[in-house]
Amino acid sequence: MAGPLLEISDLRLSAGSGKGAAAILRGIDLALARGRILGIVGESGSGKSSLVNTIMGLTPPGLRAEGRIVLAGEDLLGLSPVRMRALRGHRLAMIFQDPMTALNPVFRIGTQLVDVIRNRHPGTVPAAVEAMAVEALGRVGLPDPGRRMRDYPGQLSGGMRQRVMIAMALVCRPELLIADEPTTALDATIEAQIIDLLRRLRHDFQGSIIFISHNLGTVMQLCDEVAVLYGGHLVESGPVRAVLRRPLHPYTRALVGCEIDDRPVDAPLAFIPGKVPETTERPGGCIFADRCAYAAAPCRTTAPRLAAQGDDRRAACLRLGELP
Amino acid sequence: MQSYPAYVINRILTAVLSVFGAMLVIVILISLVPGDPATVLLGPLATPEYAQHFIAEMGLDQPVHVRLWRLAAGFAQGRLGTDVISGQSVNTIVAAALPHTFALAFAAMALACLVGIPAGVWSAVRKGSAGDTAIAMVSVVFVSVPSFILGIVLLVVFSIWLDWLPVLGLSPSASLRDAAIRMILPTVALALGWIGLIARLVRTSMLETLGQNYIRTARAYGLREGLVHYRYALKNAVIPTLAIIGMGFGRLLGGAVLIEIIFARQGLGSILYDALQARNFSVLQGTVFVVVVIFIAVNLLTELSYALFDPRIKFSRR
Repeated sequence: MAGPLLEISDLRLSAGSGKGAAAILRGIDLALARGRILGIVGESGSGKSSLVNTIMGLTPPGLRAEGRIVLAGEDLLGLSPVRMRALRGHRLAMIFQDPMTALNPVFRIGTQLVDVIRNRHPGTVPAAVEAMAVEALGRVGLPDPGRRMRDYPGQLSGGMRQRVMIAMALVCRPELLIADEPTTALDATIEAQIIDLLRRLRHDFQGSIIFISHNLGTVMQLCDEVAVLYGGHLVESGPVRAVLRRPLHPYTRALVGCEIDDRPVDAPLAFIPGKVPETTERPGGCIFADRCAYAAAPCRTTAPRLAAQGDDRRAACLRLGELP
Repeated sequence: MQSYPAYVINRILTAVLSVFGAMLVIVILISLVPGDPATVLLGPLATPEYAQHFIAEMGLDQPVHVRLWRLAAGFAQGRLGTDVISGQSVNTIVAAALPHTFALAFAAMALACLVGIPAGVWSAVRKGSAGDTAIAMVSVVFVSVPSFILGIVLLVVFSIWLDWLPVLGLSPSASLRDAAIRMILPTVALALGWIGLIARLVRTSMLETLGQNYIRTARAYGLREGLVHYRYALKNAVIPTLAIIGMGFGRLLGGAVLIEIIFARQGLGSILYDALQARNFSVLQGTVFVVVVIFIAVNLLTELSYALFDPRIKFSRR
């Protein structure tokens, strides 16, 4: 099929009105081709989770989403709640940050999987549903999946629960899988296992993935493309290696510079001074100007537009040509 | 955290201790009740010798620790004592009344759950709507008006003005249908307060549960709202409510006593009331003991049944 699977244009998410109005997403443009993995990076509060929750239609009541989110030709923002619900668990699926709380503590793993499968594949005979659930648990590397079906989430470790969540997502065979910091709550060794699992699964998984992470190394390992979010803006995007090896935007540069590497232990750690802007702030110029090491006078008055930089990269900065 | 068997043993030991504590309190309270049973029962004309004999027969001349010991020894063997007035065993008296009181209490609690839980879920899901506000107002009225007043109001409206339902008493015939009809008003009177309370508790608990991550997960996988509310959320939300219902059962028995008196139904209520009026302490202490044991047993069962609803208790050791 021609065209991208997901095309987001001028997506704005806001709450309230007048002076106290909060702008959470401030005009996001983004496209994702079929079968590709897009990483989304940025500090806490940059709007990463808000973006994916808006795609899923899971924003809390009271928030207003404007713009377009087109999934395979259908604008999700124009859909009725019933139609949107029908897409979730069919064409859209999501893995959450905290596997300790994402599964219902008082229902067996098997029950929760079976409910999702019955919703996805209505009319399937119970024995086949059960078999699909066991097979999915086996595929994500849960030992003795038949017996695990009868376990409650409390009986599984965090890593195991995240595998269950991944199994739940996979049985839906979604066109778009969203993983919102799926490894942030896990130990480093478990994180590596989960990333390894996702990398292996992407071969038999046909859909596209949006992967949110704080960890640039993980994004580099797993993703094809990366989008950098800051203060509700998309500031840079492009192929993952190019962007993370040779970042263009000063924010991406700073973010990459913050990665802890093998510099001598007595060298001071790099960090970005200041903090992410509040959603109620409305700067006239660049959203990053206050914290930017390269900010000049025009940066404070003119908002930069996301502009193509070469074939497949985009960045939003007025001074790109002048930066060292 | 302790393992489930240790938890069970711990709860049972606590329950046994509570029974002993309750016995002590019964004996002390009875020694404090004003009015001498000999004077009340025998009248002012009884000879001092006969009164003395009567007091001795009831064991009231003994010091408290001796009375407690006799009582405990008798209770431990399952003997609740003998009614000095009628000569009947208190066991027989209580056994005859217990089914009536239990039937009333269980019917009221069942009605309260059947109406209160869906009402709570309904208002939580429609938080802030007119229906939610209406349920909140009605609930507050039900909770704050004592059940005996509700009972009298119901009696006046449905039995006297509208003449839909029989006024008082247990069924004179053995007809089950007639007995059921006579249960309606007392049950409703007893249940209304609990309907209000359960609706409020379930609403609060549901609102908290609906904000949990696992509810977001269920929605993220497109599950129907009905399934999300009544299956995924309710089972979590009902756990704290269960504790209140279990503890409330004792209060419900207390309420049943008053309702039985108003509707002139036989039961533990009428026994306690008559025994207290007559200062018939042997019947009083035996009956109160039975009520206390039921109360403690229901609490124990409630605590142990959490594990059925909440696997985290059962498997907390793993």
